[in-house]
Amino acid sequence: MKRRQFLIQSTLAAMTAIAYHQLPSQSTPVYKQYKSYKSWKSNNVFLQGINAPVFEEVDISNLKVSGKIPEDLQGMYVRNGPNPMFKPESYSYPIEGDGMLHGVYFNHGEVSYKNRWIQTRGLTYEMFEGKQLNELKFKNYANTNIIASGGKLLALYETGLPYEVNKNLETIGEWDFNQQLQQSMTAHPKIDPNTGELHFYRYSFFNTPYLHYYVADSNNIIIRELPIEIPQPTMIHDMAITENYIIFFNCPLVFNMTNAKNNNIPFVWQQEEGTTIILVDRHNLHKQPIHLKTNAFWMWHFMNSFEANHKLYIDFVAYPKIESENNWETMLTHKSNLRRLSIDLQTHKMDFENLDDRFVELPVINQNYVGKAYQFGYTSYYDTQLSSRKKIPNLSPSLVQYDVVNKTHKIHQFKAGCYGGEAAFIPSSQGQSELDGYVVTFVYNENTNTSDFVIIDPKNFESEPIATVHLPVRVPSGFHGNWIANVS
Amino acid sequence: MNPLTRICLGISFALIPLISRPVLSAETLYFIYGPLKFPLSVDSLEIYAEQGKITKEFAFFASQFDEKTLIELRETLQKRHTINGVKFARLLRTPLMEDLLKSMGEIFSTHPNHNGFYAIRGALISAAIHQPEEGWTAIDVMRKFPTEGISINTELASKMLKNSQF
Repeated sequence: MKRRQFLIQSTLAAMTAIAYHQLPSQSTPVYKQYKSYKSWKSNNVFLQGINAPVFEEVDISNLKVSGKIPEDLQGMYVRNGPNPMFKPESYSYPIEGDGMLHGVYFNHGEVSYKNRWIQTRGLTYEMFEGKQLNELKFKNYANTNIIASGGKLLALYETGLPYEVNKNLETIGEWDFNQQLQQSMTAHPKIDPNTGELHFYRYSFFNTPYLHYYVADSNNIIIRELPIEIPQPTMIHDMAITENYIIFFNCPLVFNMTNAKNNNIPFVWQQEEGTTIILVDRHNLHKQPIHLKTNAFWMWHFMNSFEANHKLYIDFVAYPKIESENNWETMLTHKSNLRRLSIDLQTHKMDFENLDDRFVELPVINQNYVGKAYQFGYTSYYDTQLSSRKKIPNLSPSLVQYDVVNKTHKIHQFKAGCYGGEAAFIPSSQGQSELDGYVVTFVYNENTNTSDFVIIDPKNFESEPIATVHLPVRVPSGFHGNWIANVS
Repeated sequence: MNPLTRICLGISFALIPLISRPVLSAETLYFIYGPLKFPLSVDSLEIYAEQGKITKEFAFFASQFDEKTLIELRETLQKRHTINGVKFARLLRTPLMEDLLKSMGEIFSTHPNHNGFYAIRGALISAAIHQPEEGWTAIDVMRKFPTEGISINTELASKMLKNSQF
């Protein structure tokens, strides 16, 4: 080969290399640090490993993806969770921890990620002082859930007003429905898929009636309100709706100020009081709510509820009781499982049936089926043996897809050393059946100390995910998230 | 003097009387019982708290309680709190404390049938901010109340005391 030929060829080769170099570089994430905060470590199990807070707010675009992102995925998934900014002297899981939002954005196959603290008033005071403040122990952490309603994104915490954020997860401020709502709002409101109305409630610890139920229309106007008499101030975490009823389970976790002073947890379990099922007639609030008493049990979350054959079916995750001790060994002994309560609407006869005996939590469904007869629900499964071995109480190595009609289930197992969070069902825009869509969740990989966002096909639930978005950062375990299709 | 300076000075002078107006503070407690209204001066209560002496005015109220309750009342009135005003202000803006203040506001208010939430919170914070070295008392809070009198819903208060909500 002549020298000139060699030079020409090598130049061409170099140019080709430069031209094609772009391809692999496309999958290199573009990492932008928005803000970084002082990090700290704690001995508390709820502040370690999968639960340890992160101290950087970042924007990452061009994320690496295995598999193929479905073309119809257009919108954002956002999840809330506790992420204390300053080291707390004591930490009561799951009540405390400044809320942090983690958002995954899908735009024509491009995926990006962003995380931001919710700038609550309490957090602002603490940032000003540069430390955790004891007088703000019971502040509004805004850390439990995030929903889209009435054109707003609302970060929720049940003993405080919602915090409005924008699609870039920047905090706008407290939202009180233009002064129509006082004091607080549940973290688990329900959106009626038929009317688009937002059904929610608030509870008070000092002012009777302790429970208030509200309905807001899609213009954020509160159109109905009902004060509900309950004998004692209790913690009520979730509600359920059906075509004609609003359902509350009043479990005997009673507010107690003396307890708050003694061990920072203001609740006492009163087994002998039992649990009361409260049924409110949705369409006639003047009708006295029905109160049905049963043996004591505890529950955080409903899966769904519906009416069929003059009966009310309520599926929820039941616990035998709850202890207000902040100790994971005790927590692991109180295993929860999926249970169905059926109530005869004429005789009010109640029947409880365990749908499964697995230790599960964080139940979700296709949101188009809220309050309607449904077939599929999804939960996180908690492996107690694994948790005891690793000494971390909330490790979920798999998701369970329940078929509540045929009473069967399927398991989606994550890879070894990977633990998931709450699933979310993203209904496909042209979806016809209950399974048309995607099941997604954040998965933490303890080997790489980073998190992935997995997209699972509900029709092939046991198979490998359709796509996995690899984040170069860790998303700590959190609480509830939702898919927001119309990001305006 | 240019017109702008004149306008500014004019506004300032007009504002002075507003600024220098003495701050209102509650001198009297009004115990509301149905249509009846029983006044009691904060001074009488203070004398009882500090010296244990029952004034003629307070005697009527004292006769309604047994000895144990009266002693407890005196202890409550004498008790000194040292929480710093800034911390207290932050604490009283948490949802839990706002809930509590609202229920207290049903009893103590600026006017009958009006929730005293803001008045109580203002008075508590003010008392904590202006506290003497040894701390602030319930009497100080009363004196920081933003109206001349404090309306007390007696029926509700006795009901709440019976249910021992506080």
